[in-house]
Amino acid sequence: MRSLHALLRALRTRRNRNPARPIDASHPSGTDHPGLADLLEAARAPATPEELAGETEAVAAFVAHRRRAARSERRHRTHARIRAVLVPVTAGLALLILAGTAVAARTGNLPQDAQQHAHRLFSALGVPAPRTGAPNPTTPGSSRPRPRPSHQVIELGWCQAWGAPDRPLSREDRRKLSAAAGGEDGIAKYCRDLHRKASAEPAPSSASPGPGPSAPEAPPLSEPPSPTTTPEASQTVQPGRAPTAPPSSRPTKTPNTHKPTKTPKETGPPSKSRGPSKKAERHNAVSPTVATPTPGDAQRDGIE
Amino acid sequence: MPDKELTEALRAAQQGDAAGFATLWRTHHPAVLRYLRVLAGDHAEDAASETWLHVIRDLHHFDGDHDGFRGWLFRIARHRGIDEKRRQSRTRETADPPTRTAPDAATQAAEGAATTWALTIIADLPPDQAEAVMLRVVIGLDVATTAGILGKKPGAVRIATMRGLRRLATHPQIRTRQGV
Repeated sequence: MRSLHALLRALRTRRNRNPARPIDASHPSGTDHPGLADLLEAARAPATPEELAGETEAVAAFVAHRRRAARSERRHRTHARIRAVLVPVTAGLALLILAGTAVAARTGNLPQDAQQHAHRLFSALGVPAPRTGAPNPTTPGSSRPRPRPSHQVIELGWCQAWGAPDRPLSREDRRKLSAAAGGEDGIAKYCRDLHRKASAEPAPSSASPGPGPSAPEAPPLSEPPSPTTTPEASQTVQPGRAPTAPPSSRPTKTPNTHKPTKTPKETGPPSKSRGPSKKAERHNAVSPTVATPTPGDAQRDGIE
Repeated sequence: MPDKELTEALRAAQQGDAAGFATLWRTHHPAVLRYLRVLAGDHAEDAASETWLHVIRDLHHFDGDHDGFRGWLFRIARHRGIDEKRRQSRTRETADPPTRTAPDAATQAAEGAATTWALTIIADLPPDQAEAVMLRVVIGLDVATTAGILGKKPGAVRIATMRGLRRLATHPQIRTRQGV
């Protein structure tokens, strides 16, 4: 028992002195307890072939696992590469589409329905409402000069409706028409003049590519329908033409020639006259110039 | 084998080199197996296989030198050994009672007879002392690593080792050898 105590004491002191080598510390070679020393020696004996028999299997397991891992890693890397390409491309495409749609909505180039939708959704961001009845793509940037000729068109439409007995004018349109003609009594004359002006319109605009001064040449062409009203016709044309003449020098001349010729046919069916009336409301709201030709007409009516 | 070479083998194995892994296995498997003989008895072989499979699976996650690898390896071995022992005790009712502790003649005659005998004696110690003696004294891990593996404080590991050695010294078979 004393020898054991000596061994343990030796263990302790050796370990304290040299803690980096615990085996040597815990196993002093010259121990006076040979039984314990033998036991530890036996437990620490070199590996037997029996113990090392499983090496091939272990290494085979290692190789198999590595191969599996490499395969899955390769697959993973391929997926990662595909994702690395696909994600930015998709994101960029989505961004492009979104930005394009946003720009189109902002500039009002979307189809009617889509523009309406965009306006409803993003009206706070300044997306404009669709321009009703202006799906004509051949007139780019003609939003400003158009109101005047189309304004005549609207009134022509009212006149048609006013003249037709079977389809009465709506009260609102009727009020506007009488306002434009300067009273209920003036409507008939106003409409007649308007008709004459509309039929006269295409000729001068197509004949005169030059600036405003060519406008006075219009009256001779409008004479044939009614020679008696020639001076009046020249007068009536003047107020209407004066504004239209400056734009005639611009490339937006073509709608001027188209619109009046088209309108007589359009106003025939009652269902179509609703479009122009809606437009008229907007134009009244937008341009105060609507009223400018009317005083001249009213005065002329009064004179007559 | 010097630690430096073993660390190189460890790095090689982590890169997927089979020779590096074989070196590691050859160096450590006997110790793992002996530790598991003490811990899990007859199921040591299975537990050792499980241990190495676990090592193979997680080797590329391991970060450290060879000393760290030893600690990591024996921590895994301990868990696998405890798992096997638990499974063993669960199936004891149905299975035949385990015939351990008494090494038969064939084993005695084998080359590692003395080793088997020594491990049997150590396995007869209380479990905490047996493990402490194996890891600290037989395998030669330092106190901190052993404490980390066993989940104990270093002081407790020292005491368990000391008591284990003292108890071994009083073992009848050891005592009879005294002075031989």
